[in-house]
Amino acid sequence: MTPQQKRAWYGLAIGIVWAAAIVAVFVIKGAAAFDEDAGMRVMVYGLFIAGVLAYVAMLYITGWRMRREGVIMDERDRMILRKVPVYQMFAVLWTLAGWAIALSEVYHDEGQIPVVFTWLMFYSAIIVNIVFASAGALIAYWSDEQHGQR
Amino acid sequence: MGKGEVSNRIRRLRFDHGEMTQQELANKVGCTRQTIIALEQGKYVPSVTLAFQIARAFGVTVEDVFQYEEKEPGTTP
Repeated sequence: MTPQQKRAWYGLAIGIVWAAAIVAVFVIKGAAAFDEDAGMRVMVYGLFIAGVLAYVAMLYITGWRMRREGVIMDERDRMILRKVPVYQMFAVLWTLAGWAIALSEVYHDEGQIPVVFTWLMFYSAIIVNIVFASAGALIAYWSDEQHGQR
Repeated sequence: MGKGEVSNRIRRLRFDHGEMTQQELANKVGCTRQTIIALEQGKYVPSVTLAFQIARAFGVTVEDVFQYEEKEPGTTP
């Protein structure tokens, strides 16, 4: 496993815990409470910022530790990681498509959606984008190990 | 011109140089061990720079490490 793969696994673990924590808050409190409950909004904003900080901290700490052990990224890593933005883009697009279909189906008769969902779409797009920075890297490495250079 | 294939003798050269490990070679040329593994398995073709660095690590020419075989169009590997 390359240092970049290890980093991607750490990033994926943080991303999953992060996303699960935010989803748990919405499941426990209910999405509608986001508009009415200031405490819930503070909790969600706090989790959101904490997740980003944890991810950035992981990048710095693992980078610092791995640099002491030797090379952490070479030309092959760069070649493989160039594919990651494509996976991120598709993941975000599918997430937005999922939201669009789900909200259209649920709120079709009302003809409008609660404002909270615009924020949820925004948060989910950012979370998916960050999670797929790691998941995309793991997929790209897996693909390279299976098929080599194509 | 047909599609070519690059092969290499890195594994042979490592053993000829005191059974050099993949990690030792990687450290010498500034890449990861996984890149050396991919090179030896023929799953990765290096840049010209890395090819020269590997050849220099063994004290041989690039042609002594890497071989290019051209395939005629239409032939299967």
